[in-house]
Amino acid sequence: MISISRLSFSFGKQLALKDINFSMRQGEFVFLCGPSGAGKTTFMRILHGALAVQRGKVDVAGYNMNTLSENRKHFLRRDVSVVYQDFKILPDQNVFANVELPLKVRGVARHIIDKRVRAVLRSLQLDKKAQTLCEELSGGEQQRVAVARAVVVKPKLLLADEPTGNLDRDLAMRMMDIFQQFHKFGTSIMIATHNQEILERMPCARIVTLENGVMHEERLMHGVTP
Amino acid sequence: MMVFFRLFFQGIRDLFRVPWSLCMTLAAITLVCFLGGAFLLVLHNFNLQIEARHGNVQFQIFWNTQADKEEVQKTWAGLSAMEGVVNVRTFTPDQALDVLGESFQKNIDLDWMKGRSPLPPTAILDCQVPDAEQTKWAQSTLSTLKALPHVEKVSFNPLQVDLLTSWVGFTKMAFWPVIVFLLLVVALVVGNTIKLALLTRREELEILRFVGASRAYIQFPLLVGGLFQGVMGSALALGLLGLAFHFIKDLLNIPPLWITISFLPSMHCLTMLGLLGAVGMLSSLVALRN
Ligand SMILES: Nc1ncnc2c1ncn2[C@@H]1O[C@H](COP(=O)(O)OP(=O)(O)OP(=O)(O)O)[C@@H](O)[C@H]1O
Ligand SMILES: [Mg+2]
Repeated sequence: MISISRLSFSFGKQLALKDINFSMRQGEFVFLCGPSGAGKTTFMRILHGALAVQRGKVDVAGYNMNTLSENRKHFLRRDVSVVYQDFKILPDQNVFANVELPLKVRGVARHIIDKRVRAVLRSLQLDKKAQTLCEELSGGEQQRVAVARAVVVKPKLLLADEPTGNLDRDLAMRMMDIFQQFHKFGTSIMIATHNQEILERMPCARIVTLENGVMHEERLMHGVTP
Repeated sequence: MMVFFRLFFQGIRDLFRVPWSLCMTLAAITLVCFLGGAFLLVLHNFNLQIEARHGNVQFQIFWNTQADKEEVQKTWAGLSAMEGVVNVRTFTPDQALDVLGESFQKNIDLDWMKGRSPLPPTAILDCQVPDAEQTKWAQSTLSTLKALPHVEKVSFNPLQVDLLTSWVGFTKMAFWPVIVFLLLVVALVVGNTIKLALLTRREELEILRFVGASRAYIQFPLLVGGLFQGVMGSALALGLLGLAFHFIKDLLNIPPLWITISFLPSMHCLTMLGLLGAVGMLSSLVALRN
């Protein structure tokens, strides 16, 4: 699903990612941990084509990110969904309009859009807010809208940047359940987080850490039960 | 196909999201188109007038009052054979006196002057200017007439010939620069509006890209927006021009001009709509490329 060799990335003089080698098989569930400023968001933006590869080779979902032109990036983004740390939802539109957006740009038929969006909103307990403008939502609600928008298309690969950052414990756990469900149906998932609790919730997940732009393979959590 | 129509109407709907910007743009385009349309209207009517009285020039020849009558009348016989001459009217001094008397509307009796009229023998030539070499023709005719025996003075309306040639020259020279200039202004205005829309909607368009919208999906509505602005602006301008036309069409329909102004032919109007739509779309395309 992802294969990266010798990836480095810098903002001007500041090196954000250093010589990263990483690969992820299809159907894998990976946690990307690390302190603030370690480069997690930068890493995910590169995987999504929002930042261009500067050095190294990056391959995501069968797309060579070194050569993928701007005109063809939407093909990648139809296979790879992202939950952004800052949500990137449209504040002046309602919840439903935001969640249906990726289906609309794919030209999905209206009745299928309605069905799928409703189902996703229900599973994230947003069905009562469907007609509410996003700027009137709380941080946690906005985050759930961002997650709903990412999973509604049933992506091959889901990248989520701190998807539980604004949620209370209960909602965070519910969110992890949803991710787990999608994982069961074959979606590969990478979640950036520093929430220790959700790590423990997913005992068979693989954990990698970023620290100052350097990646370490942490451990495979086997048999740790909460 | 459904997507096509949806994006088409979305492009128009998006324009109305920033109504003041749309209004300003439309106002600017309308103004420019109105000026262009007025220019075309003037041109069109001038051409109609020129066609209507195509190259009709009058020469008036005055003979010396002391000239021998017989000799003058012999010359008159030859006048109609000259190149371009359509009609010859001649006046002996007495006839001229009659005409003069008539123009005084018989308030003054000039009969006592009969037989010793102080007026010279006169001839008026109505000529049809040959299409080619108009100026040369006018000059040679003039010198031929002047060279006739006992001719004292030849007056003609050089203005008519000159005006004709210079107008045709001017329109040929000015038409395209003016049109191109106006189109350029429209292109800049539309291009700027699209750029502004791109700027104000940058985040939204970025999000669309992130959730998998193709470039065409994002750009097509903007192109439609450019097209719509061009067509709307020119349609408004034509409407205004029509309104203005309604008020001025009889302005020159008075003696002695008798000129009825006619509106632009519908082909011109359609061309204008199409051209401006195309320019609007083209300039948004350029704005999107950068
Ligand atoms: N647009 C930018 N311009 C310049 N430097 C940047 C930019 N974005 C990130 N950085 C720098 O790159 C480094 C990595 O940032 P990144 O956002 O990837 O960290 P992170 O691991 O996501 O942190 P957090 O957990 O706080 O979200 C930081 O030192 C940051 O200052
Ligand atoms: Mg981050």
